[in-house]
Amino acid sequence: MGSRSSDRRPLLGSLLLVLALVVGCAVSEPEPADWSESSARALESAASAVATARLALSGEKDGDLWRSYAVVLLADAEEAAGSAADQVAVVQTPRGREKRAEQVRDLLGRAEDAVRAARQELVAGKPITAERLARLERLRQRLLREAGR
Amino acid sequence: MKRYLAVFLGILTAIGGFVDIGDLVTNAQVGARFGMSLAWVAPVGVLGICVFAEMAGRVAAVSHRAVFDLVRERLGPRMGFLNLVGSLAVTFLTFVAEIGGVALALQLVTSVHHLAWVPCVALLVWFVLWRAKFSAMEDVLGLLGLALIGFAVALWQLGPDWGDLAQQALTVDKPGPESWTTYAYFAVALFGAAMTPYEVFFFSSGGVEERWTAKDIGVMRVNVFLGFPLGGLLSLAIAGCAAVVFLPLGVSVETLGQVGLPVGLALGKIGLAVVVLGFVAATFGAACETGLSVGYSIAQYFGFQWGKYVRTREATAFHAVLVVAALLAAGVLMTSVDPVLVTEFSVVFSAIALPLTYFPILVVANDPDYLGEHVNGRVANVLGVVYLVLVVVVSVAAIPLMVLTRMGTA
Repeated sequence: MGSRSSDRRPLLGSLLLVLALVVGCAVSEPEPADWSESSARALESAASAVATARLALSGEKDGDLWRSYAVVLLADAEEAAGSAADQVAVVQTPRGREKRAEQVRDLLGRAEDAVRAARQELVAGKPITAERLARLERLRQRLLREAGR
Repeated sequence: MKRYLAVFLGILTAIGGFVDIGDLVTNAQVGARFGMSLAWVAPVGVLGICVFAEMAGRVAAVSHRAVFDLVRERLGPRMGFLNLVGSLAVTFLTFVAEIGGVALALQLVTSVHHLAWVPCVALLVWFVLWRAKFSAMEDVLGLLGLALIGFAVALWQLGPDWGDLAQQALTVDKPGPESWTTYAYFAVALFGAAMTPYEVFFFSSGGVEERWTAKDIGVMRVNVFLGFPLGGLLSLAIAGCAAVVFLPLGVSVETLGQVGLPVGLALGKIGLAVVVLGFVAATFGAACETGLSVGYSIAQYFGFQWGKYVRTREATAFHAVLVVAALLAAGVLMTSVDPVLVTEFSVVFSAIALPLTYFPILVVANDPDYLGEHVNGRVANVLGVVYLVLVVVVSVAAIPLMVLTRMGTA
């Protein structure tokens, strides 16, 4: 009995090793529903960053915020928009969602660029235009719409 | 007249000292995501902290000894050690968050990255703990913390639909996209932020530092039962500002700058300056309180001489703990960990450690050997037991909720 059990040990060990290698080396692909949820969260985060940037710019334009405060808000918003883009970029796209993933990545990239441009213009002392604020608002609404909220 | 002034000053400092980085961040986050629908947690948490702070203050006034001092003696070294480890870990985490909070507030004023401020703030906190008089530290920072009343003024200036806010507050409901588990997670975080253990340690040790006697119990109760609830109203005002400005736009609060933004939009630069002063005072005051609480708890458990009322050379171990705590806190923050994330952890871990803090206080406050005729009455015991059950439930639920909601991000 004891010797039969010890005979099986190498076989069991090999099976476990193969299983571990298969599981460990396989590229993890999220379920489509999980991916959709994750990308929706990223779009929401980006919308939040864009909205914060718009509020900061609008406050600075109206003289309600001092410059350093608005710059810190915009720098933080830029970082948040970047994190939102990374959130989607690092996840494997499920099969059949490639086009949608491209759209989401493009939109998140636009959000990051818009917030960065806003910060750069503020730091450079350029005037804040109503057009800039309106563009940010349109982008925020688009991000939320795409997130399904 | 002098006595009335002392009572008034005590109430004001209790209000100004009530809010710390945990309250600032958590209330703004909750307001932005849930509107006022979690407002009911504030009165529940505030009543809880009042109940146990009153007990701890009474113990200090009658026995002239602080809580940790008695916990080890009354419940034995093992229970005392468990109490020490749990509470110390949370208090140190809060200390780190508060120092990070001061650095973040200074970043808002100067644009200089908060990491550059961290060593300066840690050094200044240690210097104040070493040199400043206890009462001066408590009064000055508590009074400056009153600048956070700017949130209440800003809320009024934002001109919200008060009926809608009241309805949100009175209806236990959540905004559509949020789940009930996330709602529960943030309720736990708010409760943890309101009932932070260090507040009770600091309060009772402070009573010993200020040499309270049984005659001071009345004044202490007025400070607790008026000052803390009024401080709780400030928490609601912070949540209200975030609910009015951020909720309709779908903004999630992740930085201290966002917490103050509604005040700037409502009151302009002067209002914003006042509130940022409040940020610095509230977080710096809480950094001093948590730093001292770390020193108090270790010294009281191991029986070292402690306190700011004794000379430094007579309490060298206590002061050495303060130096090490300040260095460690600065070291943790210099790893570039986000202070807001540390704050989020600290409020949830506060909730987890609550029973370790509050159970011993309830036991000691019922011991006639220490309190004589001033032991808990029926009302204090009923409230104490009800809250003990509540903190156990909250403590057990905290980690599963944190995992399930991925710290509220799910």
